[in-house]
Amino acid sequence: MSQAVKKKNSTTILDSTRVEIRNLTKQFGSTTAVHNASLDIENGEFMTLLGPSGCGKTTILSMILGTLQPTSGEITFNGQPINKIDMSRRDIGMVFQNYALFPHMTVAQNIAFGLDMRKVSKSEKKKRVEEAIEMVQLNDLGNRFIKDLSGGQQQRVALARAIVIRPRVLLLDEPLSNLDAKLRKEMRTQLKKLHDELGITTIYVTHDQEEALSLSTKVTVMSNGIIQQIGTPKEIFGKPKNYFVANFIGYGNFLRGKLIDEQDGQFIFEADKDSVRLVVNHDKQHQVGDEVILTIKPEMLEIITDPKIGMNTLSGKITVSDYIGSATGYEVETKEGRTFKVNVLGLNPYAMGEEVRLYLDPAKLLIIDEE
Amino acid sequence: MNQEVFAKKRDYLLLLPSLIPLLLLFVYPLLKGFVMTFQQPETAGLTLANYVEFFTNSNYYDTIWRTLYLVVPASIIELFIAFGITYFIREKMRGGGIIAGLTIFPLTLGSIIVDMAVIAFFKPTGWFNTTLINMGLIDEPFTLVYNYAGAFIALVILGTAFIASNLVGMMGTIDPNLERAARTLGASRWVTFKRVFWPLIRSNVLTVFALNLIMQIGVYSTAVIVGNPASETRTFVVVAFEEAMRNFNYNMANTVAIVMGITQLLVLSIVFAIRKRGYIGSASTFK
Repeated sequence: MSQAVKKKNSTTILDSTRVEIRNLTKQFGSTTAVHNASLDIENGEFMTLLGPSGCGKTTILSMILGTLQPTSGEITFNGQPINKIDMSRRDIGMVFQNYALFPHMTVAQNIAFGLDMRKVSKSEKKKRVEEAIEMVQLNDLGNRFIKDLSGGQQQRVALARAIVIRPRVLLLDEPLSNLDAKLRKEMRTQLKKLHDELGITTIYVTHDQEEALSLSTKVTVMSNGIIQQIGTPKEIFGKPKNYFVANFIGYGNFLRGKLIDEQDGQFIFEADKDSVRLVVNHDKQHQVGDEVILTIKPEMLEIITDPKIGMNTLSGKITVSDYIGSATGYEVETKEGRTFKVNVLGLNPYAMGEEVRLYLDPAKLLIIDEE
Repeated sequence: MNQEVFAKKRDYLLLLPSLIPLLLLFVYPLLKGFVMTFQQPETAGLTLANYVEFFTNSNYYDTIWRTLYLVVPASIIELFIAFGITYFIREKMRGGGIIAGLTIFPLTLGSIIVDMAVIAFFKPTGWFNTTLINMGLIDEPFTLVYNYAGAFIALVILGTAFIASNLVGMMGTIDPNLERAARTLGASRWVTFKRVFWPLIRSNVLTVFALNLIMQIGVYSTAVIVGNPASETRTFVVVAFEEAMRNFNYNMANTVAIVMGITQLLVLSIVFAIRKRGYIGSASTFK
């Protein structure tokens, strides 16, 4: 409700665009950078392409932008194919990783560049540039040259320059990766607010899972040019589809094995390596006999002292202790020779070499597939 | 803490080993030469007679005009050719390295070999004229050597090589993302060049242009070998060399050299005045 009101009052509301990517493939010589990717990005959605460097996310972005031509496949804006449209006619707002601000122009001239190209009238241009400057909180810096700005301010100029043209789609290529941790968080919040206000369809590329989860309405996880999973941040974080996604999102502990039996609505899992048996809650996708991977987040593993709990416990000793303020990360080596990563909130009450028992809650263990 | 505090006066003595050759081989002859322009051969008194002679005798003052008439148009053409070639091969282009290599190659040959090559290629019975006559395009061969045209061609080949060798690296200093940014904001290729690429590379290009120009004002071997040193390509150095080596008038030779130096400084200041009217500074702002 309040957001609807806000949208109505804002003068910079944009007609947003639905982006469809169909069977997109890009080959460089014999290497395939993007393999048969299909992706729907709804009106006003904030879609993040998440993956390690070299996974193909920037290649997809470059094809939407028009600096690269797809080997095959199609990209459409509101159903209209854009492959053949020159990049200067695609109406895309782009924020480059290094901002790519024009050093020989002032902040205001940089922001006005896209409006100059659109032959916007002088008064209209002035109004829109001022609006954009205010929107990214760069008031009074309009006449500065770019080299006189800090990294964070440059980042905001880049953003203002991209949105002032009222683009159909906003593309951001790791825009926060060059800011320090505190500023990055601040900019993240600002970016989110801006997206809420303007409702531009946004495609954001990053390798930082925290950014992806915090900003997006939808996340696409990629590796080796292949889309691994598409989902809301909650789906991606709570139900990673396979080993790659789980590992990338920060599930640190993996056990490969087989579901060998079913009891009281729970599976019995046996590990390949050392025949460790664990009880795990039933899920709908798997059945007895499946080769699976069990995974659990370091935060979900518990170090227990209660000797009564016998099921799903493993004994071991602390081999690594990494205190990071709000939590302590331990590595526990079990008798079977496995290493588990455990995060414990607060102080670090365990000493190096201390004998502990780990409890793997059947409800918190997740069954995933290799691929 | 502060190293400078400990720098004593006698530490500057360490400069002497490099300073002495410089003073003896460069500064002293320069000053001596300058003083000689105010003297007559075999007399000791100071006089302006050499300069009066230079600026009243057309045999001397014509060299200013002749040198500039040869070198300035050549330099401008060199700049256009070198800029065009290096601009179009600046992105990864198949064969770009070979084109750059061939453009810069004449530098390794030096002036005299290039001059000889121009003669071999463009003389009345050379490949150029023979081909045109055989194709039936012309009846009489063009006279392209031992005159203004010959010197001009040889200068262009060497100057293009020199400017291109400098521009190849400079083209790479302009972040391609800047051009991409302009393009996504709606600029055509031409507008992107005009409003983003050129303003950023302009000051460096003009610096190289000025450097090449003042180097070519000192042209000698090309003017003598493939030009016509008696009239059309009678440049500063040709006259200075004649005075020193044929007439043994070192005072007049030095006078010509000083006038040439002043001409070079004037040309340099004109180019730099133009350069100062645009953006001068780094093409990168990223922090």
